[in-house]
Amino acid sequence: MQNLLDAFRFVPLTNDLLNTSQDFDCGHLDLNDFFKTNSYAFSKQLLGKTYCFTSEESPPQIVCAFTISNDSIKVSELPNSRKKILNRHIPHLKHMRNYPAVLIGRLGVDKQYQGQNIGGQLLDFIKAWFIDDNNKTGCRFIIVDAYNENAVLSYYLKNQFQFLFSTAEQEKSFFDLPLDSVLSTRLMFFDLLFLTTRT
Amino acid sequence: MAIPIKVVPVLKGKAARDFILKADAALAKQGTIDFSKQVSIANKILEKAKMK
Repeated sequence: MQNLLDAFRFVPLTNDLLNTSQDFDCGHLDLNDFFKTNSYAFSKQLLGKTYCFTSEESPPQIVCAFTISNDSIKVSELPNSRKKILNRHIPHLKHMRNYPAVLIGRLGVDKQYQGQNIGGQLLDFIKAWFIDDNNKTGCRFIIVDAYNENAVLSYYLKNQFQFLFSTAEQEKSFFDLPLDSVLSTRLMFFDLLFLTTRT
Repeated sequence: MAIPIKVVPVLKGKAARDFILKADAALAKQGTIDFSKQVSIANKILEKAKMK
């Protein structure tokens, strides 16, 4: 099994790289199109940054790529028991919590490298990157808007992500979608608080 | 045309309560997963990329 550290290079995805690398194909036209035509402009507009791992060969092959942005999970209601306690101690408290998060807006692994745990290593890398002591801001959660496909959802569940909404119906109601519609994606999150470094 | 990235809505009602319960429960399990090895690998990747 190839590992990200020894076999590949980690770099920002630039137009130069896109123009000189072998075609990236993760099996999703939507993702391929985003990385190829939109990711650099997205980055220039400061909406999200795209990074990738490339092979060492020439021309390089983009092995996997991901786009991340700052985000948050906002919660407007507290459980009743907690609300009573807070009201007692902090009157006029706004019942809103805002948890800082990083959003993985796009993530794909080239088809040649699928089934080799590259995706699992990639998620470990992103998690580790955001619990690093040198991280400039606080970040509690990683959020992903995952394709609503068994293989994709299983991949995130296997990597300890949880659904933000307990059911697809609940998620549809938050987006004002008809109950008989099919969600193309599911919001999921990972809590970085569980992770520690014992060094 | 790429599928737009969903905006995470403000959680309310049951979704909010469920999420807060999970977030608060995690406080009791803070740092229970040793990620030292993965962080070490990530640091080496970033050093190799000259991004550290």
